[in-house]
Amino acid sequence: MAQHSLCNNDECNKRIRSTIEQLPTECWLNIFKYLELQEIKRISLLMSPVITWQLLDTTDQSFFRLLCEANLKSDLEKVIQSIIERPQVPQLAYKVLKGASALPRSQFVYSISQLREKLRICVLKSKVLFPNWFKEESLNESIDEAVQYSYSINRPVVFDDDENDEIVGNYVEKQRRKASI
Amino acid sequence: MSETKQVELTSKDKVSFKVDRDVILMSGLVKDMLEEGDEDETPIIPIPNVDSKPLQKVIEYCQYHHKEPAQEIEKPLKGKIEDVICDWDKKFLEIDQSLLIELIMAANYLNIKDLLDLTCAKVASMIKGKSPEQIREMFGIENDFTPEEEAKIREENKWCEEA
Repeated sequence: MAQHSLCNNDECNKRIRSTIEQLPTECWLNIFKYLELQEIKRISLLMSPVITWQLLDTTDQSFFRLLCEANLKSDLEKVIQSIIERPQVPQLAYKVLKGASALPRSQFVYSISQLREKLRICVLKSKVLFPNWFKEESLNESIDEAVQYSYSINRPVVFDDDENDEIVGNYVEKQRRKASI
Repeated sequence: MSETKQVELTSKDKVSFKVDRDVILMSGLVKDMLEEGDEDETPIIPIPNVDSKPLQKVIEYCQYHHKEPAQEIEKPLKGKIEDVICDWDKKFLEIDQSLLIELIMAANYLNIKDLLDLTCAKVASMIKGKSPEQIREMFGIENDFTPEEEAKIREENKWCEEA
């Protein structure tokens, strides 16, 4: 691999290193696994020239693989969260019936089917690149939950309290009268 | 009743520790060495890369977690490490910075995954939310970057921040 323009290894070796600078690359990568992606990007290459040199000079590109892993994981978590946090259609319809204005469609950047497609692509990528993630039960469970929820989000409105029975009753009566005319 | 088989570990500074074989099998390195070696009464295993102080801590960790398997630590850490580890581990990690770093290196060399994860998570928790300057100060890292070099690194690795 070409030497990084700023990291002269001889220079790095000449000066007295701090104890933490003596950690091998695999230990740094393990430390970074416990940090958020933004945090890794913010500090990893700016703490010390010795560490920067170590991270950028790996023959197996392990630092870049770590960034890719953190990036994909963050994408996967975001798409799962976007699906789970999307309000169900019955909740929106309920608000409309109660007189509130409907939530504009533009409030959501992606439709639920687009989110489901994003989730499918993220899961496919992750299964190829990082299959070990799927040994975790919790991740499989949250993916299943998101997929199921994404299909149940458009379920027909079911009202079960008295107040809503009245609203639905009025609506049905109105339709019946219209039909008799 | 049969006696528990023991193993003798010799540190870099020539201090010997007798440990139960079952306990030290938590180390992938020692496990491999024992599988390759003869069935001696008490095999002597040199650990030339680890000083007696961290080696003693490693043995302490193995003796406890041999019976009480360590819990997986969440990745990435959502809060402080103290919130997700058991009381024994909290007490175990009350050590100075240099010993913590030596412990990481020892766990890495001896291939003890749970101890490596615990100590790395501790360092991650220490640097979380801090600026590069604060981290340098905390660990006594000499800053050789000139402002120009720092700017150049940012420029050359902009793709990493944009990813």
